[in-house]
Amino acid sequence: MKKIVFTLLIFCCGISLSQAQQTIGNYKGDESKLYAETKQFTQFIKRFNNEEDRNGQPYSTGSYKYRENNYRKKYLEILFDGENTSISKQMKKNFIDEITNKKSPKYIEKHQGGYFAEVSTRFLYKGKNTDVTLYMQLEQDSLGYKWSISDVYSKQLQGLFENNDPKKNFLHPMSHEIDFMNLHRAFGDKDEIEDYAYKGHEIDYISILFYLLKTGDLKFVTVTNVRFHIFQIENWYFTVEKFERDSYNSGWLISSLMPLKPTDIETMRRYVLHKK
Amino acid sequence: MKTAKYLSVLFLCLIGLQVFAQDATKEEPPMPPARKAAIDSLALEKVHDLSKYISKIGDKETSFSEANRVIERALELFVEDAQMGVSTLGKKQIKYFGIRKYLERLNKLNYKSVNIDWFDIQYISDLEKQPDGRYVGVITIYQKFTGVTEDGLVYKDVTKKDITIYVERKTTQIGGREIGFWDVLLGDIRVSETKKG
Repeated sequence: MKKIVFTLLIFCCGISLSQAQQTIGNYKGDESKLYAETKQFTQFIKRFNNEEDRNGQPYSTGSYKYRENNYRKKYLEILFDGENTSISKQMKKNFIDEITNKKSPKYIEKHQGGYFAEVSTRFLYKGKNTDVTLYMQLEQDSLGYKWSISDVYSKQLQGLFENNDPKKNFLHPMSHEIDFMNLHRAFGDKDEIEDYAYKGHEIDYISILFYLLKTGDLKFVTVTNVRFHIFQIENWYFTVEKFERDSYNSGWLISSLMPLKPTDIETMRRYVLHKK
Repeated sequence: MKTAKYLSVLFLCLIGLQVFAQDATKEEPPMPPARKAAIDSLALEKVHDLSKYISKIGDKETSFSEANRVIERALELFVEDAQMGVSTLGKKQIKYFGIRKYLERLNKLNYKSVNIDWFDIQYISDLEKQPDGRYVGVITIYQKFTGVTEDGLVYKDVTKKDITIYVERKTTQIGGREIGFWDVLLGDIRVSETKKG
């Protein structure tokens, strides 16, 4: 009887393995590093939450392995950039202990916001290389989801609006009686033009980007880097970046980590977005 | 009395409609695993076809007219306007080529022979529904490319390919009956050269 059960078990394992490995080639090189690599940001989330096995095959949501804490701890250990010494062992331990706490485990939920992508790009602005950072958020639209540009930062473009002159220009309160003819003077000095906007006015860099693209002054060249800023895990902030290395510690990994009180999230978010 | 009854039924229907409208914007359940597995297989088959075509296009033994025919076949695997983004290890910049241009460049490389081997490892993401209702996913695969030039020089590299796949529900008429099926097309591909082979 035992023999039959054993044979059946082997048979079942064989079936599940053959289903998991949909081979498309026959290359028999060392693939261990490729298995170790966190190949997509999607896989980073699945490993972070322990939603798939070592071969990248998803666990069904009903499986006891799905989001299982002990496996999860092992995965989390390998999800850090091993070459980054600024993340101390203690901090890493505190983070892992907190998010794998049996009573209140914390997971990354793909569609619940609380994270955004920072995409470093290169444009040609009037023929010169210009670095532009696009901040992208995943948002629901119609039948599905899409990534949208939520903010823009560029040292060169922002530099156009840096006005360090302490003298503030204004249109005097009787300007209406002279048909605002002093606008002529206001628009004559392009370096200080923003003085004339209403109090609290913020420059909309997305519109500037679109305008420059439409006029042809700005031309997209390439993406140079992608980084994710994760604010979704309560009391923590961390970034995830891709490391292409010929080693077991490669792919999408946690590149920085810091404790963050919920009350400080907005300050941190504004810091990341280069807002004052 | 009848009017009051009619109005109350209409009112309940309107509430029902409103609830339905709210439900429609809620998240849909993920695709059943069996269907997802079938779509993954179909997508991998298309990736495999592409690799066969690439070998053929890059091979000098292939005549010009045959290469052109194969390029057209390869393009049938893709959605319109798909691009190939190519990056090399240590360089940040990605170069973008339309698929046709990429294949034509490959044809002009004039290798005496081209061999493409695939690693067993591959990673297939979940399928996400995009605003137009089509599903989109990414397959990550690793490939070893070996090209031998006329002078006997051997060029080898290992590349990682992140291939976008689009999945769409389509219908066709067979014997007067409308039959539904899932169609998979390839989209943008990001290629990164990870190391010399």
